[in-house]
Amino acid sequence: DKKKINIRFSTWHVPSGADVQKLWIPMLEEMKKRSNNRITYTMYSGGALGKGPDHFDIVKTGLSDMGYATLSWTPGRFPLTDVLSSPIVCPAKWKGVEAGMAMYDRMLSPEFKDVKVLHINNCVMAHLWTTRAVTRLEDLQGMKIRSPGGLQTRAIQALGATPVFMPLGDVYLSMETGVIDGVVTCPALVKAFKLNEVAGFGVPTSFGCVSEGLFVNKRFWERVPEDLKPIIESVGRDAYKIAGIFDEGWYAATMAEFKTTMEIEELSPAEQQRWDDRFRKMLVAWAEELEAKGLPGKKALTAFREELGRVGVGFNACPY
Amino acid sequence: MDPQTIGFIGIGVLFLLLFIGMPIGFSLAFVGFWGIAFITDISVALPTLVRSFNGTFTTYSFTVIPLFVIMGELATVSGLSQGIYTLADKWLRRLPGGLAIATLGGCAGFAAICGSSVATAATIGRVALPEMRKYGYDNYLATGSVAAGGTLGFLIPPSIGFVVYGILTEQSIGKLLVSGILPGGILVAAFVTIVVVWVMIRPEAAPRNLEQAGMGEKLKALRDVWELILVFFLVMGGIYFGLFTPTEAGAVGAFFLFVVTLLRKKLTWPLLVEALAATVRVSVMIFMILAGAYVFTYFMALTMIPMNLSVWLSAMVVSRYLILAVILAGYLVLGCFLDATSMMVLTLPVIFPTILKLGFDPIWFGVISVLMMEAGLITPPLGLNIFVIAGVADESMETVFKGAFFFLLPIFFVVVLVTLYPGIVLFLPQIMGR
Amino acid sequence: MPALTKHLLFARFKRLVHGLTRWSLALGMGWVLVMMILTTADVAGRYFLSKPVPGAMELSSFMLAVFAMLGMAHTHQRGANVRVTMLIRTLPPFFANVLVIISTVLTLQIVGMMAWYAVRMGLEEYHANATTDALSIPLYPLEFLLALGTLLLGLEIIVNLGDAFYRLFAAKNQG
Ligand code: NA
Ligand code: NA
Repeated sequence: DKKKINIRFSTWHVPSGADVQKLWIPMLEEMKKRSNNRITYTMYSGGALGKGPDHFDIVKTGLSDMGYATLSWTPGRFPLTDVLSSPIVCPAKWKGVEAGMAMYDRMLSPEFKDVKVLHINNCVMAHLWTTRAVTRLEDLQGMKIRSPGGLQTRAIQALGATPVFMPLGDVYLSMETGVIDGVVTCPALVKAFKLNEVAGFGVPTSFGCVSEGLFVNKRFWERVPEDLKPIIESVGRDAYKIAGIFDEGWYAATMAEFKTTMEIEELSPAEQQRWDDRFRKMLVAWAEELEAKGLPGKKALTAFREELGRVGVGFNACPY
Repeated sequence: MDPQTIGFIGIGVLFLLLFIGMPIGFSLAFVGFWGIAFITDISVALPTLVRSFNGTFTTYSFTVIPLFVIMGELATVSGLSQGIYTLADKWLRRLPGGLAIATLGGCAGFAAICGSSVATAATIGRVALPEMRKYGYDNYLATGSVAAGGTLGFLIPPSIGFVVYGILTEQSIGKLLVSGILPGGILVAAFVTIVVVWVMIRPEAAPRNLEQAGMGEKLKALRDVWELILVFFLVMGGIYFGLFTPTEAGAVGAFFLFVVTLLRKKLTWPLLVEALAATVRVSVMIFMILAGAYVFTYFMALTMIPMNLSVWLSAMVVSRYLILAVILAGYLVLGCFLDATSMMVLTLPVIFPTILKLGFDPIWFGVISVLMMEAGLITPPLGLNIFVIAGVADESMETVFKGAFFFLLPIFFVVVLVTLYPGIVLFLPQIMGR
Repeated sequence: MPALTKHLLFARFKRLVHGLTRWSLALGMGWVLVMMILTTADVAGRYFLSKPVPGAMELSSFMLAVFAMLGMAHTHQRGANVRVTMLIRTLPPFFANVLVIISTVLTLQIVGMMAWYAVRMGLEEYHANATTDALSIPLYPLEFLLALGTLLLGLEIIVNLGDAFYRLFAAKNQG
């Protein structure tokens, strides 16, 4: 069966950014190459088919055939999958995929009945970027910090700062002029929104980051010729390794670049201990809320720690 | 049928529906819906349709639209818009065509607090037109100056135009708003020049009012609107110095005017109800167009026409200014059929990447496109300001179109000027953004 | 006289629809003031107390939805939805009315489909448990609200259609 197939690929990442140019296009090109050009693709980036939070539904309903979606942007839809956004210290997305997919097989698959999952993972860890120096918990009291949502909001609250919500596009001016004092986000978005120009200081402690994934529409998947399915599955799962981006090397290079204009200081070990304690309490509260709803929150945390251990990623804040 | 062919048929059907009088938002949604259904499946088109409308009505950044509209409504209720006109009249009436200049000044002042061109034209028109009639002003000059003055609401911040542009292109709305100040001022001056030249050529168009207003009267007029001046500094200063985001500025400004209206004891129940109902109408009208345009935009994306057009435009091996001229001419043609908001939503996803690729500044292009859309508001056959003024003045549309025609020259002049000297636009946002 | 009965029925229907539209407007329009006060309180709280109103953004988006969705019917009834009337104003009344009927039927089609499918998506969202981030407010009521708003809008459009048919026959009888 030599049938060809064209993939309509959707993402909210901006067309000229690193995600589209250095990750998704190389991944789709690899699918094309391995299938001898029987797989082709059309790229709909920059939210051409819908707004950021709609991207899971865009794939689910079939406006696109395959796409990237940020799961933390639709709170309540994937309650257990939120475990992926715990404050873990993981600079490489491919490791996140390994742990994420192990979790998918163990307990998260019921949350994704509507789509074909190629991979789920946590984004590269988010740090704290501020306009004033922060070396201790006390410095954070009363600071207004823009949160990406989800577990990161709880983390900001747990540290004693005030989480503020606003579109990422407004953060630059708001930080520059003092509407907010800082932002919790990952290095990739700091770079994309030029926040390194306005944040003088960085605390490279991990807040965890949004959970995300790569999904395929179910009806489209049924139409994919059987011999092409393994290609899409394996290239999709190994997208980060194939593109060679968002790994330890990329993380180190980006942070080094930031250090030329920003003061980025690690917390002292004792101080880090205090922050981890706060994160731990936050995770206990989260797990208990899930348990109250009849979901295995505690088991999710321990399972996640086990799976992270297999790829050598630390989870010091894990309470169980 | 390949998607591109479906796309071109869709565009044809859209123009047909617009032409037979189907409301713009519904035409866009209808063509977009069936286009998506033809290219993919009706089961895909249905959720896309609902998502587009639901998304538009629940987007936080869009709260700025009703807030700016109600700010203008409250200014009218409190008598402040009457006051700003009186102010301009007392200070400017001895100039040739003084009342028309006062009208433009009133529009500029009102535009400073009101986000909507239509609202600016309607409010000032209600106050200024009877005055100009009283002093025997020519109908063309009177209606034209109000219609043209109203377009200032779109350029002088705060402006819904810049808000929509900022949302669509992910540019900083704060910088865009600030970038409108200098070109807005130049455009006011150019409008005034046109009035002066007009009256010099045809003195009978504007009988001079030589009745001198005393200094006391002038100062009283100024005192009467101090709240409005304060609101301007509160809103603009607040955005500029980062006390709040533009969305919040809308709320703070409206709240301040609400309190002023209460303190002036002008807020009766029927007036409040009418102000709220008018806010609903203007906001929902914009939302319907935005939501419909989203559906249509997704359809266009599926056809690949915008992407191909963008590639084609960028590959044109001619001067980038020629491409810019083609784009701007396109806006003027579109402006004949569409209002400014839908024009932006439809064209920017196509045009904006090209503009970036050609190396033009995104903030600068925001000002240029807003200027061209202003021109669109007063050109036939569809010009929202023309309709509003024709309604308020009880004049024929032809009269208003003719009167407004001469005011197109200053708009084009500012476009050319700003293209030759982009610094006019970029100076303020640059010192602001770093 | 069946014609007269029909006439009376339509007049009654029209009154009913306009009444519903007024109610819907009355329930929705005040929320812009609440939004204004809430956002101002949020800004003030952030500055003077370092204590923003939790979830102010989410509450604002909900109020925006109530304000706008319940105002759709009123906006349409008052003819505020912008359209190009150049052709219709120049054509003889009979042809103009035929065009109005065509465009009204198409409008009704799209609005009706939206009302129906918003209910379906509301049910789906209800089972998916989607909520807002800060306050965990469920999202499904918004879909039902959209369904309600578009239903009222659809009724107003049916009134338009009835009016257009009346005018059509009036124009025919004269001509
Ligand atoms: Na304005
Ligand atoms: Na026009």
